[in-house]
Amino acid sequence: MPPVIDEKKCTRCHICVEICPQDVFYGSKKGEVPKVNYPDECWHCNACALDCPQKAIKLFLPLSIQLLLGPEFEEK
Amino acid sequence: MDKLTERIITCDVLIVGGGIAGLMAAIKASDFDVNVVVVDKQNIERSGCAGVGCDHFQVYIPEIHGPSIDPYLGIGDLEDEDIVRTIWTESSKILKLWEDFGIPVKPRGEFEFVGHRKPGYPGFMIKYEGQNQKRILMKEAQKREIEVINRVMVHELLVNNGRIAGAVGVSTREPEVYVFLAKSIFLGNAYNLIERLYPSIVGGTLFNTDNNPSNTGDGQISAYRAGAEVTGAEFIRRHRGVRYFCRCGQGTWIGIITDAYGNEFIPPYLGKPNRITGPPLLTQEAAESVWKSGRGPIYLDGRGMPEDDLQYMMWGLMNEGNSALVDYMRSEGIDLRTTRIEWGMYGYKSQLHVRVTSKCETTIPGLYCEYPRHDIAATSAERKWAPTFMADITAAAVSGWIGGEEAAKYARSTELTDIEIIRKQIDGTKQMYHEILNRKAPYIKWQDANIALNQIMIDYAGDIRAETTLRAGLKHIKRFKNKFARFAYAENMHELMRCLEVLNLFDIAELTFIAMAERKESRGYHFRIDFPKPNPQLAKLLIMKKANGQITLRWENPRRIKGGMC
Repeated sequence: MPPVIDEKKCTRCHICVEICPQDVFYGSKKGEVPKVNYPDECWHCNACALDCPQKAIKLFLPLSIQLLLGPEFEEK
Repeated sequence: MDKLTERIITCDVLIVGGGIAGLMAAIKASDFDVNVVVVDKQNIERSGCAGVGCDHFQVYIPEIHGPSIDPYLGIGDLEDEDIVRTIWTESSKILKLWEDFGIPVKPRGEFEFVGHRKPGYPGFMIKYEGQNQKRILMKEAQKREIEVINRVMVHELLVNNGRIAGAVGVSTREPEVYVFLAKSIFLGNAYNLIERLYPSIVGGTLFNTDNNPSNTGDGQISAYRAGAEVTGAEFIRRHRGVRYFCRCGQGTWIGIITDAYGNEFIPPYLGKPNRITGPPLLTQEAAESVWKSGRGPIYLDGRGMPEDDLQYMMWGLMNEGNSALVDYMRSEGIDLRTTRIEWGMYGYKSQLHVRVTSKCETTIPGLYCEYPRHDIAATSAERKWAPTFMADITAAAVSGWIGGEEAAKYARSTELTDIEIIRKQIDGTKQMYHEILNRKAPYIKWQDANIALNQIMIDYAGDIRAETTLRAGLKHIKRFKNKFARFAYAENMHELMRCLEVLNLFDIAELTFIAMAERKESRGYHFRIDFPKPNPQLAKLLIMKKANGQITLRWENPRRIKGGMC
């Protein structure tokens, strides 16, 4: 699950749609909350989250690329 | 899909790819009273490998390092000395320029020569705040009224009478074909490592790559198809870093690399003055030996590091394009002062690049290209930990600056080509796009073709390379390439871009197989089961060129400067 957009915070400015290097939001309609139409093409570069003026976007890393931790790690 | 409309753009200098090299080239070219257009298949604000940052820039400053670089210079067997020396001698000028542009190259007031070296070597890599460097370079381009066209993939270069005439590309958003008529072209999309040719180490993912996954070698292979000489196809390489989340930035982490019992098994490496970290010297062989001897997994162990080191590392990671990792560690409560994280190797990538002079000239008049990134043959372990090892962003910036000037000067000396002379080439390319967009079932989607390509590459041109498997693999690649060309289908312009990328990768795959078969030796990143030793007579570049529709090969000595100085 790549970018997750908080619809309450999103102002539909589409900066994320404009800057996403892989164009995962391709096909998003103006005036609407952007849709992640190509989630498999997300590079997890975080450009959308960095550039969102409302801080309405967070990446949620797929399980397959989450960090593997030493046995000393305790889940909070 | 309806017919594609044609848009014609006329300019003096066309810059393909608005990354570090492309934007530097555009800025420099605009000094010469020429009309410059930058085209990028992404958006230049965040495009390319340094789009979300880079935290290290290699630089030689005579006032700091001494009057000559020679004591530290190690020219690789297959490196061109003039290029290596130019990167070094021009590096401080470029860094000064970046400082003037407003890129924070002295984030704490002074140059910080930090990390990226073995103990005992002087520092040549400064640490800087590169997260928003693309935006700063973009603003410099805007100040100079340089036209930027985002979201257009340049796919073919147009040549007339052996000279560059323009390019054909396709919008990745609208049903439009772009025809560029240009007096000269600088390729800023032909420097970095080619991704998506080999599989990611994580099964089922195509875009989990350490370099930008849209680096599909469009620049290199379009130049090759236009008749330019290319080289380096056989030297595939791999990086390493935190396990599974493939990212650059190995030199930014602080800690030591250990096996499960806490034993260090690779030489030390400095991540910060007086702090030792291990990452860059992990090799596939070392990793395998740990796992095979029952001492896995491999850890990056930063336990016990002081708070200020941790903060320094996190700041570096944010600027090295790894803010997603930083966010993830924070949200999961991962504290590297108490927790180890696993470390591992990533997938192979191609080092195919265009053969250029130190003035960025290719073998096609009017076509200029950025430098190769650094010594393509020698592995990280073999390379001297001195200057040559990691020109990276410096090579892109320096060659952009040089190539931009050369492309502008060339443009001033020549005329535009009449579009009617190259009309047939344009229409043939347009017809291909039209067919891909209008294909009826049965068809092949780009993802399927990309996966088919990946598995042939890893199994026939991966860890085990021999005459018979290379011959078999080449046959598979040719067959699948033809099938994909006949059956490729894209639902929209975005998918058309992906189809063209995969077609490009198939062309690169073919060159890779041929080059690997031709290089009957093992050397650095190229390993042959049937020729396990280096052959001193093959300390040469294998040059590939398309002539009369055929691939031609020849060996060439890398350039050396007489007397040792340039």
